[in-house]
Amino acid sequence: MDAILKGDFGSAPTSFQTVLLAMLLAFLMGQLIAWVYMFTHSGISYSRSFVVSLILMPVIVALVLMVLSNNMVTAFGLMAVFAIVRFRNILRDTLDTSYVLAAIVLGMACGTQKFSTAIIGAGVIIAVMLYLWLTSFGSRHRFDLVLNLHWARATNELPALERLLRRHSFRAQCANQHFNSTANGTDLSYRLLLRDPARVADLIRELTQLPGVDQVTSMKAEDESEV
Amino acid sequence: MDDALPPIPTPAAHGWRRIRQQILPGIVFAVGVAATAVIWTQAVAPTTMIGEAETVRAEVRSAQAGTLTQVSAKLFQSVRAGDTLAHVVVTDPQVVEASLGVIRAEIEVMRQTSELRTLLDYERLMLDLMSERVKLTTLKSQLYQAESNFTRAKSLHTGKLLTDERFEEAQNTRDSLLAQVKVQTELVARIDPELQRLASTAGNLPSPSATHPLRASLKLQEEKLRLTEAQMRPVALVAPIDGIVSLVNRRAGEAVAPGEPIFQITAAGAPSIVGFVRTPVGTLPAPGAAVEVRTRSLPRRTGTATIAQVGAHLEPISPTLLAALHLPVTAVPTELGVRVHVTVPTGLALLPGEQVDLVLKD
Repeated sequence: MDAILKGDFGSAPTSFQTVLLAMLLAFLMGQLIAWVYMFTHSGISYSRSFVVSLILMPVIVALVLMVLSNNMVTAFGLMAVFAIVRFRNILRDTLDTSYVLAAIVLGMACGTQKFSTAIIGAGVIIAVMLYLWLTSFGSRHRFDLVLNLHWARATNELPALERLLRRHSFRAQCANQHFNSTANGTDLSYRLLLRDPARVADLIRELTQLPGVDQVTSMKAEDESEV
Repeated sequence: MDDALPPIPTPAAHGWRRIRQQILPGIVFAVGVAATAVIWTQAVAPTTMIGEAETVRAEVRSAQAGTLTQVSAKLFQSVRAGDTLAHVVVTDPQVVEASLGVIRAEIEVMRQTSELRTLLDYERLMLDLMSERVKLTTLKSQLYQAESNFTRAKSLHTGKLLTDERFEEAQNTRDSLLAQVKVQTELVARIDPELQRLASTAGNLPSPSATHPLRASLKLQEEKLRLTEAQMRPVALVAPIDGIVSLVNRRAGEAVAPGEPIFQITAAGAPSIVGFVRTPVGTLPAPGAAVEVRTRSLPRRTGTATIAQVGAHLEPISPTLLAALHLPVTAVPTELGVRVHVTVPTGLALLPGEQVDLVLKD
């Protein structure tokens, strides 16, 4: 361990704690930015890989600047290497760019004899990547099922329906309520986050057995992202 | 009345997925914040000032010009105050040789010009003793030279830079002179008590008038001989403080000028830590205020100390501290500060010159 932490042969000795703190802070800041982006995004072109990049990029950039350590020559080297990679590859995705940048900066850290920084940096970046993969960070999976039905009873009796929905779901949100003037009752549309997505059939069966419920249709909701 | 229906069970895999996607990011974020706080406060907390452990150095100089011999101090060797580091032969051996030649000749003149029969046993013995002492001093002078040559030859021979024959020659010369000095010393030691005994009896007898000038001349020659012996005796260079030999400027056999630094001794520990409060000076720390001392070497060690003294004027910050502060080190000092002396925390074992971060606690 001591050999790993004292393996930098650059001009200035690197403090292991400082490297770790810089990357940790970058990760936390990136996650905050990503959360703000997720909660405030209102367009239709939501991209999970973009959100992941928002977390990954600050960590990589922190490592880049520690490897550069005010060295203009290394900075020009980084630009040159990145330009060469970019010249031969069209990087359509920001996440792809992050991975390429991570690979380049780790190579630069080794090339500038900052071996400890390379090892610690690689460890942190890989840990962040695995964490983002494990948590499917950036995916906006708020509902599993869209449920449409006709409620023939009075609206003040809706709690009976909602009790059944809560039995099968963690969250039930009434997305649409349409009073039908030609037929008695109300057309309802619910978005459900199911307790067990495999038991949709049980839910529909119990709904059809509930007095006042008919015309039950369901549609599986997918993740709200492009990628 | 709460008539909620019992919820259906959630499969473990689905529950784990919910934890991963909804709870784990929050946990990781909280752990990250805690880890950041710990590292921030323990490792990279902002420092009030940077200081360096004071280095105590002492130089060993020769007050007289001469030739360096018998150098026993080596670089990085631990020494104690009073230890002999080397000797300086302050008089040229050739000058000593010439002085002894003069004394020898004058004694011979006295011997030839005096009527031996008129001399008492005391004066005769005195002349003999002085002759032997001159011989002994000459041998000692040659022995010092031979010792110096042998020491030099030994180090060269160890480094395979001198042939075995030359080394043995130097060794034989030294050993031969050593033996001669030993024999001559024994001879002088044998004559001297006899002379003392005669002196006590001769002092009571009425001395012949013819011996008075002779005794005066003998006294003069004895004083001359004593002076030459004193000049020939090498001057010892001793360590003024306990510490480590950090610099050796001259080797054995080299000529040294008066006042020239020959060795540098650096004390093993640091008596205090010196820091600077940079301009613009705000509130100066008061003597006795608590200070946290953090080492910059890894792993970082911390200790609590107190302000010992605070300077009363601005002075240039030392170049090593300027470099540590990433400030330009210029020939003309531009960065000024108030010097602050801090005690060394017990158990921190700072190396002289080691840079530390100082955090005022009050």
